Amino acid sequence: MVNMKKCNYVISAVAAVLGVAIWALSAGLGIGFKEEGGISAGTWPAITGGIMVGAALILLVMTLVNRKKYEEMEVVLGLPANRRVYLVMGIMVVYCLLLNVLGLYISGLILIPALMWVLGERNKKKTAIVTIVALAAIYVIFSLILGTKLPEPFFM
Amino acid sequence: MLNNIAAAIASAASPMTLLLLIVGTGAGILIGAMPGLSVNMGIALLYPLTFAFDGVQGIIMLLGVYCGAIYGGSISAILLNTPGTPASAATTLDGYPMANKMGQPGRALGLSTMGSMFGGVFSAICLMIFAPQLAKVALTFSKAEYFALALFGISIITSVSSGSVLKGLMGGALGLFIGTIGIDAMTGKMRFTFDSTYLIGGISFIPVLIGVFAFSQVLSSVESCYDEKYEKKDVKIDRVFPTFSDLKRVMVTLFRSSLIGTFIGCIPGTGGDISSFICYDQAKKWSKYKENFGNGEPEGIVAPESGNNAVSGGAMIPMLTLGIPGDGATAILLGALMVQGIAPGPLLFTNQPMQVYTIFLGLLLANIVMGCFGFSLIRVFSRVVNVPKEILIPVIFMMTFVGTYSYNHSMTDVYVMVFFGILGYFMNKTQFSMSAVILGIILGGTAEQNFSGALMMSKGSFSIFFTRPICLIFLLISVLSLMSPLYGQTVKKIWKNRKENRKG
Repeated sequence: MVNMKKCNYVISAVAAVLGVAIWALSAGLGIGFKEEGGISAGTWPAITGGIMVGAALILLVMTLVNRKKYEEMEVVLGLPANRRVYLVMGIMVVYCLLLNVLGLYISGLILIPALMWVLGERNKKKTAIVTIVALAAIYVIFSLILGTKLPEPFFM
Repeated sequence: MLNNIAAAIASAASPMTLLLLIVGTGAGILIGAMPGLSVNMGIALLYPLTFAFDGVQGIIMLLGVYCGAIYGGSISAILLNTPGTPASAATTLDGYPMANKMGQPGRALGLSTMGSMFGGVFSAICLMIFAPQLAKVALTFSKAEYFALALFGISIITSVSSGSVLKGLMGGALGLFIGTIGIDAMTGKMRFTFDSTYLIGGISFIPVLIGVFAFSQVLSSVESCYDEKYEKKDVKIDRVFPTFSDLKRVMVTLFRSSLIGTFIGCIPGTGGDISSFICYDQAKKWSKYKENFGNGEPEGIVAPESGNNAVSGGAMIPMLTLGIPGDGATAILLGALMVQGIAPGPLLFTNQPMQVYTIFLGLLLANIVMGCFGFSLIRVFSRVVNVPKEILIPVIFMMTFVGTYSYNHSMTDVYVMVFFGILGYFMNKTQFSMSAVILGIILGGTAEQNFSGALMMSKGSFSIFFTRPICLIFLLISVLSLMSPLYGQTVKKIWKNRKENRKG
């Protein structure tokens, strides 16, 4: 079981690393002030890096001090409902790749039924109708009325 | 001025603008009525559509979505006891009993429509009256004051971060950092681009917005609808126009709640949810029918509804005049205005007066259209509460892809959107605030440029921020706002003790 204490430790570590990295990269851009040009390019990002590190440290201290409180706060990440979310995330990543190759409409013919199936819809007729109506509506609104260019398949 | 007003009327009343307003308001009501879809998500999803139109026309469409979605939340609150948006949570207290226990859903929906329209129109009129006056005062501001204002805007992350203020601060810093990626406007140096052509122009605001407000929210819906049994709700709606006796009974409450809502909207960091509960509480306090609250009291419906819709005009006063967003939704609207080349702030009123008046009229019309929709098509809108999640979720996912791609015709934007959507899901789980990230991205650039400009004015001396009274006041308010979580609980305890002592 994941609790907020563990999450806060991870968040503190990630934020601290990110903050330090931002600070280090900002230093390469120059930190300070010049009368002619205003603040150097790295000054503002360095401030954001500093805020990040500061907040990470305070979060770490707060979590250590209120250890009990955060231990009792559960972060739900491993239930079947979460696993379904991870499956949808996976589908989305695959869809991104398909979108590039097959274009919006053909990949949509795969995405919508796949998502409906994952969400528990087993009625094939309903799935087909929803897919066709949704894609037709996108075509009419975006392509015909607004003239928006949408991803096209590689063969077009 | 009269020329500008005439031009604004012509622009706002043009057939295309009116059509967009009607489409936006209708879409907003539908989005608000569906439980799980928020006002922010509605604006984020429909935002890319606005690029197909002239700047102000697109913004007016978004105003329609904004007003419509706040109102739409009351439909599911009344019919299902599930608020469509957090701003309608207080409406369930009396709306649901009136619709179910008393068997008068039409009356409840009619009262909520009346309250929403009245509150929205009232706040739009307040916006028209007060915003130009505030802008006149703000015209005397220099870069130091602008920096302090931007900082104040960023400081409201403490209010929008309901889960954890520290994580809100981290999210805000992340947003500020994202805003620095790309070519530095002042020095021309590349920042954090890592030789990527995409990053030279910076990370686009739209993919991040759609990712954190729409994509991540739909992922959360995928989780929340697990094992949910679909139940179709058949509602027979009869008369929706409030009767004369109902109107007489709620009139004072309507005015009071609209006034409170507008005022609360002006305070950055608040929002419709806070306003609706305060208005409900005040209505109960002043009502002759206190004992009827919770059992379908008409005042208990109009108070939160007029209160939450009045926030729309109130929140736009600091947004348009000072460039400070009142809540998450106005933060997105602020970004939308900036992308369309309309820079909110006091200079907006002198540089682009026609656009300002068009926005004023747009908000007013959006509320009127919303009321007309509510009274005439409520039977249609009430059916959307029955749309199953298995249909809704795939369609919204498709819309996030279409919206993101149509902005720049870039697949990289799509990858960025998916990345931030997935990141947003986990950030939501661990009490991060998405509004804080967006606030950082939107206001970071303004804050940095004015910080640099102010230091140039003072030849590098930080005293400029402490010797100018208005700047100092805003800086102090920013510090107080940022530190509020530290003393907020203590102040609340003191107030509670005092109240109890008085009662005792």
